[in-house]
Amino acid sequence: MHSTSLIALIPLFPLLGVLVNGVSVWRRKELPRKTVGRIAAGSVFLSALTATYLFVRLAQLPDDGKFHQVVFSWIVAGRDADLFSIPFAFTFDRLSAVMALTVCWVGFLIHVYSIGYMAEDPSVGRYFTYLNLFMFAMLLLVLGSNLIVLFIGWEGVGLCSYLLIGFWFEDNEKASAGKKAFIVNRIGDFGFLLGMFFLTWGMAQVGGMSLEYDKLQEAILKLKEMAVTLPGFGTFPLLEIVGVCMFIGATGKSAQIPLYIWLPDAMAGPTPVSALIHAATMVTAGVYMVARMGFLYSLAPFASTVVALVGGLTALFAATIGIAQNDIKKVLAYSTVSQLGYMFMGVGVGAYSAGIFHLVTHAFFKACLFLGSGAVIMACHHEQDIRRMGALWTGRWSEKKMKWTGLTFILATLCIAGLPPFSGFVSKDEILWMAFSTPNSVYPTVHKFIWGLGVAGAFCTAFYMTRLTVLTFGGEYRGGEHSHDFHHALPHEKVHEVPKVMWVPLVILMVGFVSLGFLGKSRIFSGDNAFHHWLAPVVDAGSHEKALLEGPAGALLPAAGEAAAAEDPGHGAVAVHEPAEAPAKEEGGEAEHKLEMMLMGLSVAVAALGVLLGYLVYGVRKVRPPMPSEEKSVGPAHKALLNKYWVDEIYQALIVNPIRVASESLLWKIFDVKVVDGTVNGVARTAKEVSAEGLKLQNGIVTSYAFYMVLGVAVVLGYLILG
Amino acid sequence: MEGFLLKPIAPHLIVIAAGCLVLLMRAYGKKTSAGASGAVTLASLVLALAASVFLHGDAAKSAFSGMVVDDNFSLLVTVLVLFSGILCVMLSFDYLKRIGIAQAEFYSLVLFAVSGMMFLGSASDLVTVFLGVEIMSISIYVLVGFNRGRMESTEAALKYLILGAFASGFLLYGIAMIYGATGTTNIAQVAEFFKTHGPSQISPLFMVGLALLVIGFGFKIGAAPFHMWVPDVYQGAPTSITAFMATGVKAAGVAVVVRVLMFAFPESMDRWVPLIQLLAMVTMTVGNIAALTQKNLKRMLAYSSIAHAGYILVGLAAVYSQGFAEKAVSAVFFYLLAYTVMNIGAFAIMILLGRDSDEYENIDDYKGLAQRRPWAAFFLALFLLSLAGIPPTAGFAGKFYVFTAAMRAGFVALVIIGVLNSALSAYYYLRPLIIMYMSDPDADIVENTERRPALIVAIGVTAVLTLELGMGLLAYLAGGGSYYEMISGYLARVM
Repeated sequence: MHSTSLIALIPLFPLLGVLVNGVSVWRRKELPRKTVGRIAAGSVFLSALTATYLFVRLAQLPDDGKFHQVVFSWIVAGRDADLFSIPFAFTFDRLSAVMALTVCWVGFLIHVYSIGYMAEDPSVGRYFTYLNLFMFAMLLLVLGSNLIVLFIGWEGVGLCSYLLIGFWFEDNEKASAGKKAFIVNRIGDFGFLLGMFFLTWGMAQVGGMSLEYDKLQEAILKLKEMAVTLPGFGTFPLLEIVGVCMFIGATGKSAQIPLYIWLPDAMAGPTPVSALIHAATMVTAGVYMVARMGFLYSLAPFASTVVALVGGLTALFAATIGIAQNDIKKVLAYSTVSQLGYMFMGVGVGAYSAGIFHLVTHAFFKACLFLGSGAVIMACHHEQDIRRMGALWTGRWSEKKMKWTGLTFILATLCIAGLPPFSGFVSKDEILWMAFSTPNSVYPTVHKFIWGLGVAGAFCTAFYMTRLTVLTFGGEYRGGEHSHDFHHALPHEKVHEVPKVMWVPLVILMVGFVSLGFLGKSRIFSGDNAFHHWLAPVVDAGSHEKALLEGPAGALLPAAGEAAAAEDPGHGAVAVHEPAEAPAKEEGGEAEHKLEMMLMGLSVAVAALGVLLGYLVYGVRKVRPPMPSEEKSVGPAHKALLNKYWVDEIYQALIVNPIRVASESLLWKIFDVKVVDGTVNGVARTAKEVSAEGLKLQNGIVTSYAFYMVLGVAVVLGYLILG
Repeated sequence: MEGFLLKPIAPHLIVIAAGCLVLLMRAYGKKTSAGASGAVTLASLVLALAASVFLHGDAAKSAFSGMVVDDNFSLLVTVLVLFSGILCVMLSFDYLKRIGIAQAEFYSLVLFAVSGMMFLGSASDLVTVFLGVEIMSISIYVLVGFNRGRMESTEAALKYLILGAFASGFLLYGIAMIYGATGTTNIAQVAEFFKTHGPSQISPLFMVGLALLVIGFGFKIGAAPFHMWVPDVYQGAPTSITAFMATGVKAAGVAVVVRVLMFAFPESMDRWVPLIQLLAMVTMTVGNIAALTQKNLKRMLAYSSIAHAGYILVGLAAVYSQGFAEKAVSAVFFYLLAYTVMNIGAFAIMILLGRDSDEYENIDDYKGLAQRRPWAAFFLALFLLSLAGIPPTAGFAGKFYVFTAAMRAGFVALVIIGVLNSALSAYYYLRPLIIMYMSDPDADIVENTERRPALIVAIGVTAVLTLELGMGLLAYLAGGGSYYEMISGYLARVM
């Protein structure tokens, strides 16, 4: 079979899983629990194999090669010049290959883990149906060849996220967490839709209405010339508007300021769901979208700055909240928000491959952390509070309560903290360096500020992750006694390692995040950045036009590239995007290289300091987080962190309550009941009354019928003769 | 005028001969069952359908000194009324037995009525038109009163006869006036008269004749304000005859209006198009508003039939658009076809559900039907949705074509009124749906579980066609175009 026609199989396998498991749930003919899990995991495994095969085939093509498959022509409207056509089509290029591989393989491991985690749950069929449906939607998102297919996936994963957060919907709190996620995402989606509308409008002006990526890319220079006038606000370049609007969608889906608030609540779902959807894959959709639209963002310096700045702020902001959280999953949730901030920082400064690389490494180490936390929660019999844990990985190897979970969790902590040689260090450092070395054309010094946010965030990350790990796995066990804060107790002896089906995926993920670092740029190993080379033809393609358009002094060009581009205009487009290597090979790059090494040393030092401080405070001095009864007496800063800066409360007071009051008292009680219902009911009542009254003419007497006929005759004759 | 003189009316003759045969079978073969008469009727109608299609040539052929013509227009009418007749007979088989009026005369009258309708389709002279109207009407008068044991039936027949005679008077008087104004009753020659003498010849005498013709036809198709007989007669008549009247009689009536107005009076279009517009507005509105408060399904469908006559008149008014007259007439034909299948389908479900002499007419009788007879409820829902004009059904496509044609003619106000009426009609079409699907059945209902293959086939055919005319899936698979395009292709050659 030709490689191209295999693409559709990747999302198709999970869809088949949905059909099989879904029908059995719907018909109430539950399959054996093991079969359900095997079907679900097996379907994802087949997808993963297909994606891997296509990846190998893709690697044999030239740099800009890709597979393209039109499944069917979906929306066709208009003719000739006005033709608007959206094919239901897939593209398998280097970017979607990376995404598909990550999604499929991490997804597969989490499916396997779920078999163990959900073994006791009565609704296992429903769970795997949703999970497979999520895989289907996510693969549509990353494989679609136009924004519309991406948007179906985008909405599809949002739906599955909602369904799975509220999976245990009997619990009201969990159900409302699902609703919160859905509504907040809808707000973002509104921005995303607006962006697509603007883009469609722009494409219609330049001829060829289409939302295919390659069509957009062809027309991008023409689109750059266009401007949009927003009444009351002024005139803006089209690309900036589209960039900002679509990024608003990304802040919803990828939990960035100001729409991040749903993600911590989303931890109400089963833990494997948190790992798959709310850490490894779905929440990174926004980063993928920005990288995918890189050709647009690289021509929209203001929108890119917004992306980078929001990313940087979120990275630090969420990391500080993470310091004071006591729920193991909440800490990881804020850590996810923070790490997503780093990814946006990367793609915002034009380092698309660095952002995607962090996405991939994060998928592995964060999935590992989440699955590890799930294992801990299971081992401690549904305890999620780290104040009630401890000593799960102390003593000699044979005495350790959770050998494998602990080992993988600790290594993942070091990885996310940014210590070499783990992949987390490599990818985060790449982003920080790119942020530092890429001057911003809109605000000259803002890139240094963004970098500063990133470094500060890195310190916090190292600190809170160490705190989490030490409190969970080190010290002494604190869950054994009753107190007036916690009523149920679990003897230490009853804590046990989870079954093999759960810890083996952890070990595989660990192998992943340890080895991935060697793919990326690792100057300390004097390696070559294979990952960047792989992605460059796709994500940097749009910058080619930009280099042609603006010349070497263009906006947002990485500083290091400028000299190279100026020396060799023909080669500039390529050199521009290899700022780290190009100077190293050329004269004058020496100072650049030294600076980079210095900064790298700095970020290692910051990370090490964070880890060390965390260990000193929680491991050596054995500081304990305040118990619920003590929380009132903590200092103001601590209180702010504990309450997550009261952001939820502020939103509630400023947005939710006014809307609710207005909709209840004005829209519902006055507009809806009086105006709408009144009009509708009034019209209906009038029509009925006319009908009832009019029917009195129909009295059944034939002579009166004849009389009415004569009246009609008079009207017709009069109309024709006099009229 | 060459070749075999009888060829253009061969299908008509087959139907008439079959009508005589059925009577003779009854007179001489005392043991001949009504079922056998029905079978002969069905066979002869199918044979006539085949004959009309296969004997039809592309060129128009007239016969009997220009009294009848065989052209594409007449072919469409013939096919339509024969189709309606066939479905009516299929609905009648078991129904007549159930209510105890299974007699051969019934079928023979149906055949004569069909022959009258066919003459209306192929009439090329106003005298033939009148002949056709009378052959059809007199047969229908008797058929309406065929259930002599039932008061309503007899009453309906009497009312229809009196008012029908009244209307026939107008019609005949109108023909006389036209003759007076133009010196001929031949449709082609009337048109020729105005073409050669110019519009100055449009005299008050002619206008009175035109008005009286429109009144006469308006009565036959049940257009307001000449619709008063419709609810009483439709409700009183045996249900299969009601279905036949609502579809076959209406189709023949509309066909003859189009034939006379378009072929004889194209020169005075400026005068009669506004009149048709006015009639369309009044008819739609009166039919729909009156239907709102009906509690009897059969009577509701009678009012709905008035409303549909209004939609059809919208399409007729749309012939005003320059150069697109045949598109408008095609829309009318498509609408008639769609209305025939969905309306007969709805009546067929009523017949299916009836028990003994209980007609099963009240909307409340349909309580919880979805639980008791899920398929019957499903099909009735399909037909009602189609009547309401909801996609992807035939009713939607029909309204779409008719309103598009009116838009093309520039009648925006007419279309707005039509669409508002459509919205209004959704109320009474959806009410039975709600009753069927959202209430529980009464406990003491005894189902009619007889096997009635002809009825089931009729329901199946109408249901399939309701969807097929709406979506054209089968036509698409067979590589054909849309039915509407097919019809307008036919009509383009005669208009």
